[in-house]
Amino acid sequence: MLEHYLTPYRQQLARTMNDTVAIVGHELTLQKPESSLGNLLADLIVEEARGATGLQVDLAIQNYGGVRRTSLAAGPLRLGMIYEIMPFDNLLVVLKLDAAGLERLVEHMAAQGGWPVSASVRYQIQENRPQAVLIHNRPIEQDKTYFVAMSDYIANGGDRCDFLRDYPRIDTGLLMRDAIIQHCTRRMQQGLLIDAVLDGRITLAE
Amino acid sequence: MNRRTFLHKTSITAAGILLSGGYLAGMNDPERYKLTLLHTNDVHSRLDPFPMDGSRMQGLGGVARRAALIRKIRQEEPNVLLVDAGDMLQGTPYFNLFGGEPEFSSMSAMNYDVGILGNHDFDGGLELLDKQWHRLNFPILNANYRVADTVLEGRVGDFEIFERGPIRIGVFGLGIALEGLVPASLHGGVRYEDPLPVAQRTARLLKKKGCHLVICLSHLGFKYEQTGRISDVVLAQKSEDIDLIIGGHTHTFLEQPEVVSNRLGQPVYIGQVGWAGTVLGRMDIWFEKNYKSTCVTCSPALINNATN
Repeated sequence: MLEHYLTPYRQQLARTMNDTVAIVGHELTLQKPESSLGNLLADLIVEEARGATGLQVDLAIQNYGGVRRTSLAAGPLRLGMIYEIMPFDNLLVVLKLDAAGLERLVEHMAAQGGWPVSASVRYQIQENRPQAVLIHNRPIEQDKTYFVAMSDYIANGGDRCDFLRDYPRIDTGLLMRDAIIQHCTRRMQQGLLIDAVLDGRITLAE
Repeated sequence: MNRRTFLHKTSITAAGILLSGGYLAGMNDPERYKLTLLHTNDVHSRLDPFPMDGSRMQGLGGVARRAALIRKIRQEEPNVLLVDAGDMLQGTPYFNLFGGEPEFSSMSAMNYDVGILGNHDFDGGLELLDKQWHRLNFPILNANYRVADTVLEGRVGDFEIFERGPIRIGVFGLGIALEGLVPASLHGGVRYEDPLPVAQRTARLLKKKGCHLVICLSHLGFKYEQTGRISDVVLAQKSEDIDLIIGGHTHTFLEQPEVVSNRLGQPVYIGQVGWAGTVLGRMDIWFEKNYKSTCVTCSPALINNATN
């Protein structure tokens, strides 16, 4: 009975959501403190934010709980899977953070066990605190402004990030999900697989 | 799945009798009443099974198979209560394309008895809930949400009392703090109250109304590292009149219920079955005829292609 009821919905959904947007090279999974799926997302967010704003975006962060599908098998990546990874209609924004804001953000991410961050970020987590934080291989500089890409959900204070609310921001006008879709589509057009490796950007201190 | 029996307020001798297989398998023990509690949480718009694409959850879940299993259990068992602990919505393109319509309708078709709103049930805003509410044929209870002057007024309740055979079951619901979790534009006007005093007050009232079992449906989350943050475990420890908590939010899969002592040293059972509807939680609760003691057996069922 429910099968019958769902059929028209399922058919309508299949018309768009089964399109292959890219090919995944190796299985990608989400874990703390660092993971292949997390690295993929943060790295593509920084790239798409740079493309959309023309700014030298320093890093991207993604709240762990905002990644709603936690694994992708090797093989075709269908549009529906990207909706499952990022179902929310959140927008990609770039925040202009001072050193204090960035430090606070890294502390918050470390306290949560490590959120996905882009490759320019390295740190260790010791007893829920960040250690040896490097951005572009350098410690956070007190007089520098950092351009940090993230979803407007986080920039608006979501996931306990209320300390981010008052920082200036640059809107990209792009949905987070559309940023992922356009990135994947471009990779496929270029004949490239979707892949990511662990590079030790976040580690747990001994 | 494993099968284990939890007992409380019963003597060793009684436990021996209860554990004998015949009794557990037996349908109608004249000396006891049995309630079969079926539960889900965080189904997140997962109407279809996970596709067979090599991913970790492939082939699991799906409402049609869950509906078939529920129907079978309702045929086998006299006293069934089917509950959901929130986050019915958001997570598959069904929600993006159809805005909650098939999720609510299929839960109604399965004859859920009661549910609560989780944080993601606000993802389409109050506007979406207003539009789709008529598809729900079961009560939604969030006792710690003040909904006056919103579209949820008169729709979201505090508690319900169910009668299954001779058993009276009081159910109330608790929602998580929306601030910082759901953009204000989506839940505007819904005010969150501290769950603990609301729970104490409501559970006490349900006991006074003669409920043999008080169930809290909670979207607070199972437990957190931050000490003092309200969770199902903290709620269980600090309350007095809750017998059982069916939780959600943290996507915790408890193969067996966590048993936590409440303020009076009495056991509180906490159940939660992960997310996406890959498992139908099941607790069979036997009541002695005088309701002085209960026995809980937990046997969650994996929803896969063997589910008829």
